[in-house]
Amino acid sequence: MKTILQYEWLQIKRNRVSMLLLAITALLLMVSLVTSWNYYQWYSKLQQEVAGNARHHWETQGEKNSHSAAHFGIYLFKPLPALAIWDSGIEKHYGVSLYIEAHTRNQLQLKAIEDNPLLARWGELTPASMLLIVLPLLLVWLAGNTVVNDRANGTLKMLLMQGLPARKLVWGKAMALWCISGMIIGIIWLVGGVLASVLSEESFFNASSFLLLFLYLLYTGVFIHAGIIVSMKAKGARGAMVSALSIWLVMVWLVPRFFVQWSEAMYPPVNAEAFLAKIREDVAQNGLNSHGAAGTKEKELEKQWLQKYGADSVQQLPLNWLGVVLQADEEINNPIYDKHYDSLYHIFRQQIAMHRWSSWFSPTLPAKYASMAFAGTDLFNSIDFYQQTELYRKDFIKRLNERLRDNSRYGGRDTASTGYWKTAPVFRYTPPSDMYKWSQAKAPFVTVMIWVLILAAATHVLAGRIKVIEN
Amino acid sequence: MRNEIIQFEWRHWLLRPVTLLLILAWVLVLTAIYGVSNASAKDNRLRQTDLLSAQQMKRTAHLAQVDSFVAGLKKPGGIWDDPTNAYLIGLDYGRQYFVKQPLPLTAFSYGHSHIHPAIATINTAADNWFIALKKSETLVNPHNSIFGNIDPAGAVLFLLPLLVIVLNFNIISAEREAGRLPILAVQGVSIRQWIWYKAGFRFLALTLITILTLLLNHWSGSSATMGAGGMAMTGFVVAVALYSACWHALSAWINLYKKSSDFNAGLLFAIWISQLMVIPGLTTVIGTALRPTEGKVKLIDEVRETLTEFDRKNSQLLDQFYTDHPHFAAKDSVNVMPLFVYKYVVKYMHTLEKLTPVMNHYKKDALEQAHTAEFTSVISPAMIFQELSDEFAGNSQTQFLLFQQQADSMVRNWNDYINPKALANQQLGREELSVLADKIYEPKVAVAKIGWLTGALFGWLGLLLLLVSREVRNFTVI
Repeated sequence: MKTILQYEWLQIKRNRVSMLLLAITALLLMVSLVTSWNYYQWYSKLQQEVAGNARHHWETQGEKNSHSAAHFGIYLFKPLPALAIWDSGIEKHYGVSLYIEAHTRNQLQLKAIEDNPLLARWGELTPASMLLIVLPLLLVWLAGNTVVNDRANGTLKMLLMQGLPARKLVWGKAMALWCISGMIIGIIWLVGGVLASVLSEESFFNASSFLLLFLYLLYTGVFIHAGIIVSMKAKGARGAMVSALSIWLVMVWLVPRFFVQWSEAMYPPVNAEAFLAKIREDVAQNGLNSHGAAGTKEKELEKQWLQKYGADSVQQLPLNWLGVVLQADEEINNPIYDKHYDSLYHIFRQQIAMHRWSSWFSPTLPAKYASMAFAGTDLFNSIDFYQQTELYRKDFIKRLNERLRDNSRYGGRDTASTGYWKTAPVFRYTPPSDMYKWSQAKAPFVTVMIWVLILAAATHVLAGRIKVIEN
Repeated sequence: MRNEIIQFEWRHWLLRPVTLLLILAWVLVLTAIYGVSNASAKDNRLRQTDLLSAQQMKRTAHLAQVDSFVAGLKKPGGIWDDPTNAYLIGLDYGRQYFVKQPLPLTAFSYGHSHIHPAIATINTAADNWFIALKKSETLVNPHNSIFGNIDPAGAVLFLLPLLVIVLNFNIISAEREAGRLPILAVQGVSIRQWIWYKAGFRFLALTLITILTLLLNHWSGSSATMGAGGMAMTGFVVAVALYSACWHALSAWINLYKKSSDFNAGLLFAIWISQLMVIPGLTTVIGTALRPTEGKVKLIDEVRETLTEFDRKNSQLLDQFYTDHPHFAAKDSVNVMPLFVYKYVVKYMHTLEKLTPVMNHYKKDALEQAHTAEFTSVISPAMIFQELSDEFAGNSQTQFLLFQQQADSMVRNWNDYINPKALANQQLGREELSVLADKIYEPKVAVAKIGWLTGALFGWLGLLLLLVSREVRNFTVI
C-alpha cells in the first residue's frame, strides 16, 4: 500500500497543473482563515465595546418612571462563537443583536450584509466555503484522472500483470487522495484552532471542532470516490474529466441552489409588515392592551384582584393598578407572540425539510448544515440565543412592572434612578452545549457519512471489475 | 469560405443533439428563473399598490372627519380624537408613504432589494426617522439567504459561462486531436479565418438565443412592471453580449495554446471558479479586513448615547425649551395634551437634531463604500456584469442609498414642519391636509456608472481579443 501511495503522490507531483492547483487551494484556504480570524477579532472587540455601552446607557439613563425605562429597553448581542472563524454560517445574514423592550418582541437586527455591498452580493471566502466548494473540485478532478490515465498509458495493465490486486491499487489511489485532503484540512484546522484559542475564552479544540474536522474529511471523501468511480468507468481521459467536473457542478452548485429556490417557491418568505399586523390583530382580539381602553381581559383581571384584596375599586388597592395591568399584558400577550414566532419558524423548518431532500442528490447542503451546527452559526443556534434573550426580557420587564406595582398607588408615578437600574440582571448568553449542536448536526452528518460509505462500497465493487484496456 | 465554415458549424455543432439539448435546457432554465423572479417582483408591486390605496382611503376618511369636525357636526370625545390635532396628524393621520418604484428591468436582478426597504413611512414616529435603521421588509430564512436567490442576471452570470465552457472547451483542440486541422490546411482553408468564424458563429448563436429568451420573456406581457425599459434594456443586452463575448474569447484563447481538451476544460473550470467565487470572495474578505466598517453596530451605539443623554436631563431640557421658545408655550387650555406628549415632542426634536449629522456621516460612509465596491468590480468581468445588472434593474446599493437619503430628508422636513405646530397646540384644516399625498421615487440609472462599467467590460473583451488575435497569428497547424 505504501508503494502505491508513493506512486500516486509521484504522479501528482509530476503534473505541474495539479501541484499548482494544490498550492493555490492551500494558499487560498490560509488566506480565508487569516481574514476570517481577523474579522472575528475585530468584530468581537467592537461587539464587546458596544454591549458594554448598551449596559452603561441602561444604567445611566437618568431618573425616570420604571415603565418609561421598560420602553427605553436595552440592546443585547450574540457573541461570535470561536468556530465562526471556520464557518460564519448565518451570522452575517441574520443579525446578531436584539433590542428588548416592554410589550413587543423585536426581531434580530444588525446584519453585516447591510453594511457590506460585496458581501451581500458575493458572499465571502471562509475556510468552510473553500472546503465545501473549491477543495472538492480539485479532488474530483485529481481523482477523475487517476485510473483513466494509468489505463491510457498502459501502466494499469503492467501493474495488474505484476500481480497487484485491482482493488488494492484503486484503494491505494483513493488513500493517497484522502491523505492529501486530510493534510490540507488538518493543517487548516490546527492553525485555526491555535489562532482562535489565542483570542477566545471558549476553547476551539472541543468535541464540535473535532467533529467538524471529521465532517470535512468525509465530505471531501465523497468527491474522491466519485472521481475515482468516474475514472474507472470512463472510456477516455476527456470523458472522465467532463464527467468529474459535471458531478462537482451538479452536486456543489446546482442541487443546493435548486432546492433553496424550490423551498422558497413552495413556502414563500413572510412579509414583515403582514407578520406584525397579524400579531397586532391577534393581540387586539385575544390579548390585553395595557395602553388602550380596558377590554374584557382587563375587566376579568380587575375582578380577580378586587376579590383578592376585598376592595370595591382599583383605586382602593394598596398598589399601583397600572403595574398589574402591564404585567398581565406581558403574560397574556407573550403566548400570542410565541405562537406567531413559532409559525414563522415553522415556515423556516418546512424550507429546511425541503433542503434535506437534496441529500438524495448531493451531500453539499447536509455538509453545510452539519458544519454550521457544529460551528454554532446556524439558525437553530440563533433561535436558541433568541429564546434566551426572550427569557431575559420577560424577567427584565417583570421586575420593572412589579416595581411600579409595589412602589406606588393608583395614578401615581414610580421613579427610579441609577442605583436601581444597576440592579437589573446582566444578560449572559450560554452557548449551546456540544450535545445540542450534535442533535442538530446528527442527521446531516450521518447523511454525509452514508454518501461516503455508499461511494466507498461502489469503489470497492467496481474496482474488482476494472477494465484494463480502453474500449 | 465564410459560408462553408458557418454551414459546417450549423450542421455539425449547433444541430448536434447534445448542443441542441443543452441550449434547450438553457432556454427553459432561463425562462423558469425569469418566471419566478417576475412573480416575486409582481408580488412586491402589488403589495406597494395595496398599501398606497389603503392609505389613500384612510386619508379621504380623515378629510371627511376634519370637515365634519370643522362644520361642528361631530364633536370629538377628547383631545385624542381630534382629527385636526397637529400632534396626532404628525404621528398618524398625516402619515405618507414614499415608495421606491421598481424599474422596468427589476425582475432581471434583485440586487440589494432583499436587504434595503423600498418603502419609507413619513411621520413623526422615531422608528421611521431613518430608513437605514428600519428592519427587513421580508422575513427570509437565513439558510436560504446564504445560498442566495438566482435571478435572470444571476443565471447569465453563473450559468452562461458554464454553457460556453461546455460547448467550447474543445473548440480547436477537438479538431487538432482528431487530426482534421492539417486536412483543412491542405484544402486551402485559412486557419486564422476558420478560428475567427468558428468562435464568432458560436458566440452569435448562444448570445442571440440568450438575449431573445430574455426579451421574449420580458415582452410576453407578463412583466411585473410597466414599460419595456428601452435604454436600460439596450444597455442590459449589450452587457449580456459583452459578458458572453468575454467567455467565448477566453475559451478560444485557451484552446489556441494547443493543450489537450481535458486540460482546457480543467483550466476553464478553474477560471470560472476564480472569476465567480474566489476573486469576489477574496475581494470581500480582503476589503473587510483592510477597511472594516463598524456600520450599524456602532451607529446603534451612537443613537442610544444620544437618547440616553437626553433622558438624563429630560425635564431640564423641556423647561429650557419653553424658556427659549416662549411662543410654543400652550395658550389654549382646551387643546392641551398631557405633559408627556410635549416631553416626547421636545425629546424627539432634540434627538432628531442631534442624530441627523451622525446619520449623514453613516450614509456618506455607506455611499463611499458602495462606490468603492463599484470600482473594485473592474477586477473581474463577472463582478462588472453583476454591478451593471443591478443598476439597470434599479436595485443597486447606490440606488437604494440615494432613495434612503431622500426619504430621510422628507421625514426630517415633516418633523420640522409638524413638531412646532404640535408644541403650539395648533390645529390643521383641510387646506393643509389636502396637499398630503404618497410620493413615488423613481430611481435613476446612473449613466456615468453604466458608461465606465460598460467601458471596463469592453476593456476586458478588448484584452482577450488581443490575446486571441496574437495567438491566432502565431498559430500553426503542426
